[in-house]
This record gives sequence, C-alpha cells and structure tokens, in this order.
Amino acid sequence: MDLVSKETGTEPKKILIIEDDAPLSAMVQNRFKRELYETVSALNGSEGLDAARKYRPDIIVLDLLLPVMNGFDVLSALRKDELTRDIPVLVLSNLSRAEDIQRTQMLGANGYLVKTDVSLKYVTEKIKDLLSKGSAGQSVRT
Amino acid sequence: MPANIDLFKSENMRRTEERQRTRMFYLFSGIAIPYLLAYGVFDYLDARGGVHIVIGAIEHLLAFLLLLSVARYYKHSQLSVLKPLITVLMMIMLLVSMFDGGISGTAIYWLFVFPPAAFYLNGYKPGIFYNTLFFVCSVAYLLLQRAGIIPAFYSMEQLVQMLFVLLQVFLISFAAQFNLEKFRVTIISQREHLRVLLGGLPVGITMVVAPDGRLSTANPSAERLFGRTIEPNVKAADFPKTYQLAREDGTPYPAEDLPLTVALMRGESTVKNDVFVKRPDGSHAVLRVSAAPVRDETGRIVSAVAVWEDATKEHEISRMKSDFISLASHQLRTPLTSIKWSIEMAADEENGPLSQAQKEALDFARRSTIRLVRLVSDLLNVSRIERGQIALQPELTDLDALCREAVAEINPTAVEKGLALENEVRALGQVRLDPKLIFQALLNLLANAVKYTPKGGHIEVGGRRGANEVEMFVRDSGVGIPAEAKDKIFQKFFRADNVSVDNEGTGLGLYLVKAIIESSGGRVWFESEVGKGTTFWFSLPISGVAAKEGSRELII
Repeated sequence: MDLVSKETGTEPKKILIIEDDAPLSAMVQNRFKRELYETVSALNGSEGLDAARKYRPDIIVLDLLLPVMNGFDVLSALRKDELTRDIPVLVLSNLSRAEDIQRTQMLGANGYLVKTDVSLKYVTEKIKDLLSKGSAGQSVRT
Repeated sequence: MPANIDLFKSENMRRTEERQRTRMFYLFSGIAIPYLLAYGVFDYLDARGGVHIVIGAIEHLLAFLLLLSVARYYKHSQLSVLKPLITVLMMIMLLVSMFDGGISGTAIYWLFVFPPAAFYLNGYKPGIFYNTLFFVCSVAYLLLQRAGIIPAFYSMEQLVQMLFVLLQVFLISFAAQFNLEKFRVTIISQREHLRVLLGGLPVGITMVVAPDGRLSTANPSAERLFGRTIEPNVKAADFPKTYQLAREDGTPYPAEDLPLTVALMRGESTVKNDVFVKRPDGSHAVLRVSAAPVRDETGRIVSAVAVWEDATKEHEISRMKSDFISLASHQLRTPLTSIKWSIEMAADEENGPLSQAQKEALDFARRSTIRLVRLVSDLLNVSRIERGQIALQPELTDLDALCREAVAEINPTAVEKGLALENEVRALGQVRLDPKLIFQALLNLLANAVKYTPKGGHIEVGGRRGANEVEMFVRDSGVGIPAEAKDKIFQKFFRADNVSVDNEGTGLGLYLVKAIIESSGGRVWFESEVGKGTTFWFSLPISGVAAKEGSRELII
C-alpha cells in the first residue's frame, strides 16, 4: 500500500484504487496524481476494504475480478459499513455483462465502466464528475 | 411384417413370451382335446344314425377352428412331440370319414383341410412327409377296397374323383408352401445379416414402429450407450422419461422433438441432434442422434430408425475449448487495457510533446490494439455462442430505423474508401427481435462489404417484407467469394484466398452473423460472383423471436 499526496492549497481529494493488476493500477494512479488527487491502492478485495475503512477516501475505483474477496463482496461490505456507506464507488472492470452491471447497481455502485471500452481520460472525467456530485446518494448509470 | 424384427429381444422378454405360450397351450388342449375326442365318438355314432349333413358340417367347422387354435399354439410351443401326434390324429379322422360313406361332404371338407394344416403345423419338410403319407394311405385304401378287403360305401368312380381332388389340394398347398418356404429362407438369412451387422456396429441403432412409436429393435451398442437394457414396446412418447433424456440446459427432452418421433410422425429425417442422457449408474452421456423414416411400397411410414453416436468426449473437449477461450479472453483484456491506455496517453501528448513520426507510430499501435480488443471480444462472443449462453432480449423494433443507424455508423468508413453506400430499405415495419444483436449482424455484413469492395465500388442495403419473413440484403460490387470457399465462408477464422491477409478483421464476423440470425429464428445465405460482387441475405420471422434466458450477452 502506498500513500501519495501532493501538497496543494486545498485539501486534495483521496482516491482508493482497488485493482489487482499492478501495472494498470500504477498507470491509473499516475494519471490521477497528475490531476492532483491523492491515491491509495489495494491489490486485492479485502485489502481494499481495509484501506477504505482506514483512509476514508473521497471515491473508490473498484475492479470486480479480484483475489481474496471479489468486487461484488467488497461493494456489498462497503455499503453495509457505517464508515464507508456514503463513499462513491466507480466500478472499472472488464466484465461487460448487463447482469454484472445491474448487480453492481443494486449493490449501490455509482458508475460502471468497461476498461477496454473507454480511455483513461474518460475514466478521469467520470471521477471528476462523481466527485463533484459528492456522496454516494444516487447511482449513476453509464 | 418387416417392422417386427425383434432381433435383440432381451432374454427376459423371451422367457415371458414362452410362459404365455405354455399357458395358452394348457388352456386350449384342456378344452380342445376332450372335445375332439367326444366329437369323434359322437360323429361316428351320429353318422350311423343319419343326422342331417348340415349339422355335421357345422360341427366339423367348429372342431376345425379349435384344432387350428391348438395347432397355432403347438406350432410355437417347444413341445414339438405333440405336433406329429396332432397331425396323425387329423389324418386318421380324415381317413375314417373317407371310410364312412354316410357323410361324404365332411370327407371332401377334410380333404381341403388336411394338406395345408399339415404344412402349417409341422413346417415344410415334415409337411411333405405327412401329405405323402396321407396320399399313400388313400391309395392303399382304394386298393384295399378294390380287393374287397374293405367294404365299399362309394363307387370306384367317386373315390377316384376324390383322390384327384386330394392330389390337387396337395399340389396347391405344396406350391404355396414352397414359395412361402423360399421367402422364409430369404427373410431368415436377411434377418441374420441384419442381426450380425447391427450387433457389430459401434453406433447404437433403435427402431420404432408405427403408429404409436413402440420400440421394436435396439442393438447392443444402443444398450451400451444408454447404459441399460432397452425393453421392447416402450412408446416413443415415454422415451424421454424412461431413459432420462434431456436437452443441454437440463430440461427434459420433449418427446415430440425426439428425432425418432419427428421421423415417424412427420416423415422428416433429422441429422445429429444432441441428446443428454442420464444413465442408471448416475453417469451422464451426450448422444448424437440422427433418424429417418422407413416407408412401405405405398409410401406410408411404417417405422423409423435412429442412429445414436457417443458425443460425450467431443462435448467435453468443445466445452473445455470454450472455457479456455473465455478465460484467456478475460485474462487478455487486462494487459490490453494497460497497453491501450498507455498508448492513448502518449498519443494525447500527456507525457510530453511528440514528433510527427512518433505520432504515426503510436497511431499504428493504437489501431492494432483496438483490433486486438475487438478480436478478444469476438472470441469471447464465440465461446458464449458455442456454450449456448447468449441471451435474447427481444423488443418491437423498427427495422428501417435500425438499418438507418447501421448505415450511418458505417458510412464514414465507406466514404473514406470512396464507396457509394445506398440504403434502399423502406417500410420493413416492426418485428420483435433483439435490436442490439440484429444491429451487430447488419453492421458486420456492412463492414465486410466495405472491407472487400475496392475503391469506387458500390454498396446497397435493401429488404422486403414477405408473408412470414422479412428478408434483408447487403449487396456489394466487391471481390466476390470463390466457388471453392462457399461452403466455408461462415466458419470461424476462414478467409478466402482472393482477399489479402493484411485486411483488418478477426475472421469471426460472418460466423457471428450466422449465429445471431439463426438464434433469432432466421437464415443467412448469399450469392456471389468473383470480381463482380456479393449479396448477403438474411431473413427474420415476422412472428418475432421469444426471449431466451442466457447468462451472457454478446459484447457489442
């Protein structure tokens, strides 16, 4: 786990990235850091859940096929926990079944992007969008 | 009756039949033999008393019917010693009535009865023996009468006439029996051929007979494939239940869709349908069954024959292959994402300014990556199609609008290549189908047309609405499909020789089109001439398509 923050005038937004593919995770972190976000990464589901509780990020980027604990279970646990209930979650996965998308929506995800279908730029825009909306009150269909 | 070749009747069945025959034998001999004995005495005494001849004849008829019933069960019984006894008894009765001048009608009657009965009861060769014996006895009787040893009731002339009648009847029944015998020998030898052939075949053979589809034959391989003894007389309608036949998704196989039933009831041949069978020992097998109707000389369906092959291994391998492709595709997508994103970031100059040459290089990389992503998606789709996991989500769809969208999507590419793209689709109306799937199929066909049509060419999309189907086509003035490639064009990864390999594409486009259209109840076909162009057609039923629960959707 690494915690990187960049000193700016205002408090930087914290993003937790739960993604088991290290190069991909690193790339996403680099991209987000460039946008002056603070990033935390977790390489498996249970680590991700712990990090969410510990660091209370402003938004979570969640993969679904994860070791130890899969993304669905992480999402469900996040929504049950008082501490993490209101954190927006953007699912970023390569599963593209409507069924999977619906399931994450039902579990309370705020967005769903299929990795190969979008550019990293788009992911970043989506993050900005979700952050500007604030809490995890409404789920956003993508 | 060719339908009744119970070649592989099980031993149990044989024993049951034998028991039934024995029971019938006791029943009939219990009634018939005492009756016949009493009748003989009565008849003899009565004839002396001069009772009316008609009553005598009726009594004889009844006696004969009983005798025939007995003969029938004796014939099938293993108690072969009784057959000659019955024959000799009949012969003596006939000779006695010939002695007896009182009722000559009865004697004539017996003349007609005995020769065929002797054949029927004893078979061919003993039949000849008894008939000859009877003839000799009759001649001997004549001679004895002539010598005055036996008193004469008839004139010599009458007796000679009677002998001629006897001779005629004997010859006719001999000739009939001879033909029958030849026929029987042929049938037995053919039956033996068939038995050895079916017995040695590695595939299972079952046969059902009209009208209700009872099972008449099953060879040892069929029993091995089903993992149990196949009892004769099971009705086709009960097959799925009795033998636990199911479809791939585990639902019971509808009896009316079973190839044997289809062949018998509708007269249609079916080829290679997969049936999943649960054996009594708990193991599962996939049986690939083909069936065809058998007709008699008038064209009426008398039976149906099914061939069962074991496709279990094939299925396993195909499933493993699909699973592997599915897994590999998912695994491939993650590193692909890294590559794609890295290239995109670099190309957007997020990592610093680029030279023109660098931009071009990145653009090549980007295009190849997109193609790779597409290929992986197509591979995933193929593995889903092959596992029957495709979900159909039909909704009432305006085909004209769908067509406009597809054309709009492909038009920039066509224009870039200098091709004229015309949309002739008008008033195709609404059909209940899965719009995403049909859109994809149409897009694939259009993309192919653009891909294989040289600069300056012409592409046309059109359609017509028939009574039951909507037909749509995509026509191009492209390179065409060579004749030798026509059978393979819908196969995976196939590409005809006349197109260069560096064309972009995954080799799965037409395969997916076919899978999509067929899963929607339609057909795909094409006409093509090398150098002139190709027209791909597909049809969709106007009645629409039913929703299908599949665990997967195509990645579109």
